[in-house]
Amino acid sequence: MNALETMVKQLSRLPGIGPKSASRLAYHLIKTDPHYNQLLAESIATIQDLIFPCSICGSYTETDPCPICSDPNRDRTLMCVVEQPQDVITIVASGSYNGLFHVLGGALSPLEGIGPDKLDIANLVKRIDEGTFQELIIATNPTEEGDTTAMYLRHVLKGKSLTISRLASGLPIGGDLEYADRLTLARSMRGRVNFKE
Amino acid sequence: MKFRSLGFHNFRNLTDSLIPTDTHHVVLVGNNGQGKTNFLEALYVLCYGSSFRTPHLRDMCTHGKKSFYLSAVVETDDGSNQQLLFRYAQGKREIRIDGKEIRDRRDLIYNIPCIVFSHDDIEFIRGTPESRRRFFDQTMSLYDPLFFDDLRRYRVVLKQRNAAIKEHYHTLIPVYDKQLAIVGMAIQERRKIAVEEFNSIFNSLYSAVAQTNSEMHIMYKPSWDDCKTVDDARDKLAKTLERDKKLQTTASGIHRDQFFVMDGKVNFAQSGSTGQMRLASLIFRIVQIDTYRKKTGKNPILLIDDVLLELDVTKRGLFLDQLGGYSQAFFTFLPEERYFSKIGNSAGLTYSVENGEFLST
Repeated sequence: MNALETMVKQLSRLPGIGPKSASRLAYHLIKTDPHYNQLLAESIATIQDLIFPCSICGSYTETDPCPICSDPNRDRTLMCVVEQPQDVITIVASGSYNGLFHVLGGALSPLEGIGPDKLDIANLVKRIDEGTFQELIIATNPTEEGDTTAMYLRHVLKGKSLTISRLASGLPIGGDLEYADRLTLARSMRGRVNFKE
Repeated sequence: MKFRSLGFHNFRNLTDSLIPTDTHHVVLVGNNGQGKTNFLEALYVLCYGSSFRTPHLRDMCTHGKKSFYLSAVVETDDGSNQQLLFRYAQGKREIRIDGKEIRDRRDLIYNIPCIVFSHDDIEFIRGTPESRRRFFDQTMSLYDPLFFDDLRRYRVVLKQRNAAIKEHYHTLIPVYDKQLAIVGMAIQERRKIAVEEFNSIFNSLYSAVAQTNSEMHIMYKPSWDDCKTVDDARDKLAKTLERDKKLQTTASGIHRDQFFVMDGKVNFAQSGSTGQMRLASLIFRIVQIDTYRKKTGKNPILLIDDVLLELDVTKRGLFLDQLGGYSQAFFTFLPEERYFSKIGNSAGLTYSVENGEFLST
């Protein structure tokens, strides 16, 4: 196997990259500025030393605890549970939430060998027991696995003096009904909420 | 909805070409093995992203080839043109509508409503309970996206529960029981209604075409027949967990529901002749079309594959009378068949099919 084939093989192991894209990327790297390749290689080689999970919430950080966990201005009565570290960035970027986070590291899926023991649930319970949280927002994905995880967390946290909520789902804001797909519309109809004054 | 043209490349035995289909009905005439059913299959794949003959997409590649593609121009209900493309290569499928890639098949199946009459439909009558369950699931999914979604969710959760049993994740099982009970009971309720609606027309249609007095109906036996509420279903799953652990699978639920075809009090699968069963299976499809039409107010595209062969001339005429409206229909016939009187009166295209080639006649 020559150097090009090795590179295509390695690139195609990345998520979302098939053999065709890998080949295109490899050819691009051959003819690009060597300085750029050097920078890319260095950042790939050092990423795991520089970025690591926060010892409190599990999201990726360069300092421990992470900037969110150590920020005194964040609301410490609110906790948002997400599946992956990148979900933290998405919610922070929305600007709609000012509480703390907890990253589970995935969603329950026995088919893929992911049981409760593979997720960071023990630390979540410990944080709730030791903290000042009043509300837990479960922001797992609206998939079967995300729903199962949410229901399991609810079961595990039963009896704790804590409001537990789940993100709402439905029609996109600013879109016309006529462009919504039939299923989203049907689900929104089923999950309709009381329209209070 | 109407297919204006159909193109294929490396598909089964069909010679690469683009065939005009811009008429209310299209008739394909040819001997067996010439490519008539392959043509219908190509249309079906463009409608649903899968075949009615094989679960393996690679089976549809021309012998010795590893990829195929299909294309079509479709006239939509508002009169505009839509470009459809289906490509299979390197073990993956790619579906595009007007150039936009469709990632979830759910976004495809409501695009072109199409109903196929196939030789294997007789399995609805004499086959396993699963084949009838599949028929009802298909009928209801055609007009009810929420039912389709619930069914898909139920299957995923069921697989997870079975995996949880096998992998000894017992603390998760109450969560799966709750999910299965909620979705399963919703499905059970809608199946009950669908069977009632089916029964309201099935016998009269069958009697009209068969020219007999019969008492044909579907008897629905839900696995959770004794459950009235979600909590009942949940309790049932909890009570039978030990048995499920021994069997290493979930032994009750809507995936075990049974549908029987009855003539009065007799199981029709045991009492009916092959001809009667063939006719009953055609009536199943007519009810499917009728239900779709009533629920959506739209006419589907029909693919009618060789199924009239076993009916005598009178019954063929009666069958065609009952078909009702369709936006477009494709029929396949053998060369010596005498069928054309009813279909031949209206404007349509007829192709002679030989060795995968289509000649307009």
